[in-house]
Amino acid sequence: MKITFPRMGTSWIGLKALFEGLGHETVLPPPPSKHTLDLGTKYAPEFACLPFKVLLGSYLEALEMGADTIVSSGGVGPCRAGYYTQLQKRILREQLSYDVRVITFEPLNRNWRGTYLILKDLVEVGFGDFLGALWLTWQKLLALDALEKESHRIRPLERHIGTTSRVVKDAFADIDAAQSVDEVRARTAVRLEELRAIPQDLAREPLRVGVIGEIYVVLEPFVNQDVVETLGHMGVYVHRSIFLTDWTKDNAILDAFRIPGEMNIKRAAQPYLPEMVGGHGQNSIGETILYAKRGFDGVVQLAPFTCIPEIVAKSIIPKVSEDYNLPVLTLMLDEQTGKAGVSTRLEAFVDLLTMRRQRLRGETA
Amino acid sequence: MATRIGIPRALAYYSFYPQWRTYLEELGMEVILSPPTTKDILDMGIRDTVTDACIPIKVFHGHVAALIGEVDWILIPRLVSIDGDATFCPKFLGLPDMIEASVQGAIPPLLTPRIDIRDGRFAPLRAWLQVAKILSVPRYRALVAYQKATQVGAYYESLLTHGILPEDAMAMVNKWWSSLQDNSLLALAKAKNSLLRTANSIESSTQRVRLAVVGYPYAIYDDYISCNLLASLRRLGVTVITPDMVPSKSRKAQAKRQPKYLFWHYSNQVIRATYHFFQEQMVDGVIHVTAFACGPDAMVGKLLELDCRKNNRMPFLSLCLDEHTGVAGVMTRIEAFVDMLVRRKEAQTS
Repeated sequence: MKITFPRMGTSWIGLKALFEGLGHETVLPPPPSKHTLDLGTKYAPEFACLPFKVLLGSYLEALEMGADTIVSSGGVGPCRAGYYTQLQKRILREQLSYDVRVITFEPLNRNWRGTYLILKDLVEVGFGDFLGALWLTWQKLLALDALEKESHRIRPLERHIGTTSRVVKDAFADIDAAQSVDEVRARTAVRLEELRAIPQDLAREPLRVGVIGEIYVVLEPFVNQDVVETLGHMGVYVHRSIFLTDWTKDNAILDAFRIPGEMNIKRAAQPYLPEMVGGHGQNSIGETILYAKRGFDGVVQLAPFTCIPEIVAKSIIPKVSEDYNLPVLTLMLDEQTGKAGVSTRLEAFVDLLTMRRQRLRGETA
Repeated sequence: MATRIGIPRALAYYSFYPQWRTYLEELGMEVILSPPTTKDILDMGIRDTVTDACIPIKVFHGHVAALIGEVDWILIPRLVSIDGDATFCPKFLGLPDMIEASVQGAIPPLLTPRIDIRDGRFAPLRAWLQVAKILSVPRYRALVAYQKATQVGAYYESLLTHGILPEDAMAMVNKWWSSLQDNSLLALAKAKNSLLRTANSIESSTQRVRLAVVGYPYAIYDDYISCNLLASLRRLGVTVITPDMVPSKSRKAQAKRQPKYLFWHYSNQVIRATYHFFQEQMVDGVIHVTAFACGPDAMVGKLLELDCRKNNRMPFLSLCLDEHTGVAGVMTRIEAFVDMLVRRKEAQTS
């Protein structure tokens, strides 16, 4: 099998290690680009959300590169992402006549048996090696998240704009090349040191902004027009609400044993949105409140155009923003979104936050 | 004066109004329905909602705004799941919260029973009893009211499956209800059954073009949103069939054709009804009525398109509605579609 899989942020490094560890050849689609999105938009339904279009485009690119199997995740809704592979499979096979196999991992707690059958089919190595591959993947994902978190902290302080991005990019390539858990850990330590050694202006007091929203557009820089990096270069400390390893722990692993995760976020959201509305809708409300309580200066909500859960959240956020006196900027992203437009809005937002902080400090002084 | 409870004439109204109304009236409340959708109602909705919301949600906000000052409470059930398999669209799940956060002006307190059958068979009953408690109506009275409401709901639903459109069916339910001498539970059940036997089934003359108009009840039956679509089609001499005209049993039977259920209640209804139309060869074409930027319909629309293709290339028209949709535009498109179907049918029969 020549396996391809969706790209979302840096997760491809972990997934690539996983499928290679299971004894397969992987076809890594190129990083999402304008071309990817054009391809996806051409065949996807008009109002499908942006991740659907990017993923479809990526699959098409990978199929042209020789992939014959797509492995992705499912879900139980009510967010549409859980139905992606069902529809993408039909588009690829029926409409575009690709002879492609689509394997979907459904959430474990409802589907232990199904998952076992998929794994039986997919794993071509011994049980020990299978566990080893899982462990290496997990370590790689942890390393990537640790590096990225550190880069978010350092970027607003760097003396030469762009240094952090360069260092962290090399670090990702380094993790990708690592072959064993020990190697991953050693390289992470070295690269973290390298990040910390970047010349910084410690006198700065960066504004603190939380980034919330739908997981795919939060994690994939191509579709959010590098929001995190752009804000960092404006001298803003960005706290991203979602990291893949935390998310996996809370939503895939705990959920498999029917233990609800992220209870603090859900509890915070109760007064405004007591109902799970799918995707990250309820989280967006809860996280906004938590950021307010932690004294953040502002919040940026990212969502794909037509994303149902985030539209519910967006409708309620103005009230939260008013009650907690916290500015929130919502960016709805689609294939028409351009970098200049997003940068302009972010600049204006940061200006507003800067002035607001000065005013608040003036009042207390 | 009786407590006045407002019900917005939008979204789930088309599926559950007779039931809700009976329940509340049997509790001794006065039920006030918002007027049919108008430009003013839509404009109020647009004022209160985020731009990304779909037109049915905007219209719903408008209906709530229209009830302000007229009522003491507004009933907005939080519909989560009524079949156990699927939930409603996330916008239904967060509806009461969206209303509280966005409608301008002093909205009356909301009654928001949470209907989720996944919490157990009696969960909906418990939710409705809670409503009675809030309105300080004794429990036994609420239980009887609930039973009556269920009977009325079943009667209404079966009227729909006999091809009667919601507004007409609601009028029939009304007439029947007010003509009842004795509306005790037993009498109710008897009367309902005898009435059902006399109702006619859908006329299905094969001479005329038969068209499936599939979509969510709140889009196809709101004449303002749909630009009078159903009436216009009938004027063109077309027999119109909608998903609500398919008995729920027949819809359920089609579920096995879905490799994975859709997550949204109304979406499953649309897909399953369409499969039923295909299987019974009931229609010559399909019009999918959808709202601009409707999330579930991005999936449903594509599935319908692929399925129509698979089903002997059944003619398929997707009609996307928003607040800028004009009657002339809709007319032109459906006239062209119907003309094509008429010609196709003639070619087939000759």
